[in-house]
Amino acid sequence: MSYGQDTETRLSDAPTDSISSLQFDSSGRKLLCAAWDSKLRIYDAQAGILECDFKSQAPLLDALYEDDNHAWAGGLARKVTRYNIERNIEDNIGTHEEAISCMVRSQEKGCVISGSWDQEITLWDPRTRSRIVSRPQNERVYSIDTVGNQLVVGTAQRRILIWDLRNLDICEQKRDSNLKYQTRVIKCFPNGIGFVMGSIEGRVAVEYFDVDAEVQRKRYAFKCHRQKNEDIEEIYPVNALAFHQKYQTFASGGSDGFVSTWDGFNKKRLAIYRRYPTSISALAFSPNGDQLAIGSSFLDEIDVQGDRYIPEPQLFVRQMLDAEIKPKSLST
Amino acid sequence: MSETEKKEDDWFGQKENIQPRRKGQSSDYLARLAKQNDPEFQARVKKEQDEWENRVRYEAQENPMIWHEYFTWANQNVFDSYQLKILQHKALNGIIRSENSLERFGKNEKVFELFTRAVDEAKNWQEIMSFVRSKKFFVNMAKFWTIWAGRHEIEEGVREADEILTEGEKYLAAKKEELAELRKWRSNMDIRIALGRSRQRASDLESDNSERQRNRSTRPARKFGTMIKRDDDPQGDRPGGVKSNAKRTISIFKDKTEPTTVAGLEGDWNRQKVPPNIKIKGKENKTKAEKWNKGGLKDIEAHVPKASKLIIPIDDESDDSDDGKITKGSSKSTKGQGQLKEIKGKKLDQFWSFDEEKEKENGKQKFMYRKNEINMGLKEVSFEELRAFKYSRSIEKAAAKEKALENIRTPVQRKLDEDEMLKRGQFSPDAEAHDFSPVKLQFAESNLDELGCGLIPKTPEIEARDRKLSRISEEASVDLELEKLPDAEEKLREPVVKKSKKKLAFKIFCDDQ
Repeated sequence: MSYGQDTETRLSDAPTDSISSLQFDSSGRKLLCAAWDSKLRIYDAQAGILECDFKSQAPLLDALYEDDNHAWAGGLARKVTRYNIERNIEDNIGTHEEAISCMVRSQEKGCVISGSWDQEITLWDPRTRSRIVSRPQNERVYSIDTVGNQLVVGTAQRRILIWDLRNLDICEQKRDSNLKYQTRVIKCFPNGIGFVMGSIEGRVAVEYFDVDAEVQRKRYAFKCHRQKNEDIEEIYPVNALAFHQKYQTFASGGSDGFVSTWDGFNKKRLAIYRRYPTSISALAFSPNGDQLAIGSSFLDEIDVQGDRYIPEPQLFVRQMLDAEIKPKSLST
Repeated sequence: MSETEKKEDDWFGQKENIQPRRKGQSSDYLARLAKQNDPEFQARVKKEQDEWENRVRYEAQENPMIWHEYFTWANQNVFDSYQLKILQHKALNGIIRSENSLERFGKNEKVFELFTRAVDEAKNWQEIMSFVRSKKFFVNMAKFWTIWAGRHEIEEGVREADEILTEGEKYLAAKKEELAELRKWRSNMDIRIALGRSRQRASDLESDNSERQRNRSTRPARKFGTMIKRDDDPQGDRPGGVKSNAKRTISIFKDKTEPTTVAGLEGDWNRQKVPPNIKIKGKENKTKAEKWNKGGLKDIEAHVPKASKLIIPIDDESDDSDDGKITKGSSKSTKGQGQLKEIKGKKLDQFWSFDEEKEKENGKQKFMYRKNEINMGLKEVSFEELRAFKYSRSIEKAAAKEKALENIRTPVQRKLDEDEMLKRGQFSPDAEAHDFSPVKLQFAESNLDELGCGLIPKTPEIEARDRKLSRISEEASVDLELEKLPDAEEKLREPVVKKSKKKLAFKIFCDDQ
């Protein structure tokens, strides 16, 4: 089923360059946005206006909320920076040798984890504002996510590393990606049974942590974000994934400009939204799942020929209906 | 590392260890090889390799020879032979696929060197040679034909070698030196054949003989004593000679219209790229031509060789379901229950261009992202990495531009600066690094008067007579200028006078010093 734009708000003062990441605060009222224009912005998601912004030295590749008053960000400046939103103070916590590509907060450990193109992940302690430990990944880190004590790291050359945050001395599992092409994004199921990953070539794979044969048999991959154009299938990268905390369903966004919602357990597509102006570069559900933030911005993923118009980056907040995100089995 | 292993490592690099040198490895290479585990060396190589990877991505379009430079660098610093092999393949593809490559690199020695290395190590050298010839690369170089013929000769295919040399002579007819070189090589080959050092394969000869017998029975008898022309009638019944064998022909490369020859000279390749250098020596060649033989060769106009054996086709995503329809993965990795085991998926096809070509041939899929740029170097990169590199380049360029702009002073700015300095009495030409310093060093007494128009760094010592003359000439010039304004109003005259006076005053001031 296709859904229009009747339930969404476009935020004003959107970033001037590609949107890297989006995250709601715990109340779902504020939206944190990191962008390639080197600015970290905080929006009032209800009113759709910009509340404040912080200027960084270089483009930001990821950002997250530590709590409602503190945000962390990293990017091409190679610095992990902590922002005190109320006091408008920024604090450099540490550095990586290369750009920081992704960041995530572990609820279990209460730490912030950063992944970098220097082939390392680093755990940071927000209380002492210092490095806890770094671990080599043998390849450039492209995406990370955590649930419970599991940390999933997706690297270049299609490697997936699964770490147990309680014991970082050894890597728990090393896998080759189930997908044929580069891993672009990884997100864990909120219930902690597995993770989904999107590839550069229009596919999403569902994987499980449990190595038991029965469980592993359930893993699968499916095609998405592809368009038929006169018998030619146009294949777009999957740039963003976001999980609904309550229903364990997820949304995917691709360079085709579409957002779809999926029921991973029942192998069904729940909804597909209207086509956004350009690539979907970031997605985020609010904690209670009633809102979905959608960042639409060109990622320079394809050569633009001639004077083709590139739409400006735009931010939308969509009020979610149950029909769009609730699994059909629960609905009935 | 155990003691024994350490000793072995030490011994490996010792000059007394002649084994590696016997294998043709130079001392330099061995020294580098010994250093490969050194963290400093690794860090340096990694940094340099990243730089090369970025350069290849952004400069290869304008300067495809950067591929050659990268490969040369990799040869000295990368010890992974598999990676080198891939890079060699990509470099060759990168150069040959570039714009106007035939005109630019068709005779380039460096590219030819790269090409010969690829051929040396390839088991499918015939395919590569045939492909390159069809694209008219290197065909005007005698070396190309001799190397090709040489490979056939080594593998006991003198007839194929002969045919190739004949073909080469046609191409080099207009190039005397190259032709001479080719003919010299050919005569040497003839000597080798005469001495029995090179010969045709026994199996070919046998089949030739049997075919000859068959032909004799069907063909009308030839007149006794008729001359057999070697070039005109290669199929002719030459006593003691060898004949072509249609079964052995690399007919998969041929066009229907062209005649069959032994060495695979006929035909054209529809592909734009060099065939992947896939059948590396020492590896079993499992690519069979069964498929072609079954259907016969009649309907096949052009052939794309089978994909590399390096591709491991364990496809979890082989079910090409429709958009949104979810497909089930295989359970191949779930053996080893109870213990954590690495789950192996499908290996990435390193010969991406080849793969892409096949997909293009199918014409069913279009990749809506920078696939080539992402897979161009040895390492794949993400969109963000590509963008980050562009960003850092733009920052560097902007900084360099700013720096350059700081040093550039327009004439007006310079004049203002100098006036300002003069006012403050700080003007010190020796301390200035701008354009005036060379003038100070160069001026001579003879052109002293000319310096009146600018700032004089330091008045040189001159004779009193000259000084006097100089002053007189200045005064005269002032007078002349005043005379040129006979009826002008005072307003107009005043600035000119003032300017002239100032000039004179300055001159006198300099003279008095």
